[in-house]
Amino acid sequence: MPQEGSVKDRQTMEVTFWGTRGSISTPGRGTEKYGGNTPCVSVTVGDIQIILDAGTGIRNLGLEVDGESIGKEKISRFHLFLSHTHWDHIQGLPFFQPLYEPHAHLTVYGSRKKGRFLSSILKGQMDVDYFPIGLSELAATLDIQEISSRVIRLGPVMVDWEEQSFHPGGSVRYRLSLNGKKIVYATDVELDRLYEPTISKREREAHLKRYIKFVENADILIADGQYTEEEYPKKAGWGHTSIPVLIDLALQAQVRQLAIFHHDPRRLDAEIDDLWRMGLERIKAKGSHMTLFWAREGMTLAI
Amino acid sequence: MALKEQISASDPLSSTILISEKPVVEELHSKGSAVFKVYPGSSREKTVRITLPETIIGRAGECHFRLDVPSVSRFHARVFARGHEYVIEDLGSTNGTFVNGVQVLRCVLRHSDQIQLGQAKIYFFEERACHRKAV
Ligand SMILES: [Zn+2]
Ligand SMILES: [Zn+2]
Repeated sequence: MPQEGSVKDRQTMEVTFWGTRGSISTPGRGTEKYGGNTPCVSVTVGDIQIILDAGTGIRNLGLEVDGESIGKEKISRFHLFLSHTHWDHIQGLPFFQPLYEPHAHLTVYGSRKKGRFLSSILKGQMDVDYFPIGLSELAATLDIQEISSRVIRLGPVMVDWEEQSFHPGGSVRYRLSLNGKKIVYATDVELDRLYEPTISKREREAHLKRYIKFVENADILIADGQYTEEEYPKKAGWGHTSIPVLIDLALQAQVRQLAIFHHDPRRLDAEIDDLWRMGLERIKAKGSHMTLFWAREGMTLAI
Repeated sequence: MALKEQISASDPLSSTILISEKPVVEELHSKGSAVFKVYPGSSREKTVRITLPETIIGRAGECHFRLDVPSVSRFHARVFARGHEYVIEDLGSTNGTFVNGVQVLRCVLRHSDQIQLGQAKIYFFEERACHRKAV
């Protein structure tokens, strides 16, 4: 009989999309293919559970691991890396089931470049005016850390990060490396700003060099591509990238797979299908074999 | 009734169809049904209804849905019901499982997804009132 398909070894990173939608959750028939939950991606390596952002998608992840491993004392330690603390990236946290399990341990990592401490921001959304249970009343052990070291080691996985320049309030991109394989998570950033006339050539080149170096040869780049080229001018300054700018940068950085992420809340599945077709044509015209897709809730890739 | 239709390897993208003798799981009925199609829209179109809680797809004779194509592994992938959805999972196949061109380990299936197992391509269709026309 067939083997169990799940790769539970420490050689493979299992990447699962739990939420791919930007800004606000969008349930309904028109968005069920790519999903309506806001950003959450899990990366599992053996018994190491890494989570990128805690949008509403984290709820389903919590239910799955709760049913699967809590109690069996398998995965009960979670490492959550926040790109930033905009609502769509933290709103699912109070609904993450393991937080209510005494055996669970969650470490939250985020930028220290905030005016307020990360812990007080997260505590704020669970204030009695917003949520019935306070952050300090949770059964799980919670450890909130503002990242200080350049690199965080979680068993065989190495996580490094960089502040991103173009998002209101700032955001962080993360890179997960294992045995030469790389996953880059770089959402909520407006890369189109690099091409504004107000930015000097030197500044642009410095930003580009830094970006390319970080995402270069990524086995998968999960990145903000919220707007079409036509939509972008009306949304300039909102902190999100247009699809062609992202595709061209990924090609330049010789990324192997580009997962376009943070879908616009108004974008219907059929529209994404059309954008996908156009994106593939753009890649083909440039003679590249890069895999391109729009990140889809419920999809797991082995990296 | 068991109907088993073998198609030779010289017809590489064809499928073998096996209609389950096991009783249809009632629970699945309430979720609406789903089918795999080979060559949708053509005169050679073949339909395989998904009736089991778990359907194994592969080249081996024991598979519920047999694809007698050399690039398909003996036990290539499985499709299982989870909640109100069907999920495909690669079973460590040699040539991989792709959904709409993306290599996946696991993926929730959606209406009109193209699944590629080795050189074989099959399509997944949900049968719901508003989808019937498209099917
Ligand atoms: Zn966002
Ligand atoms: Zn944001």
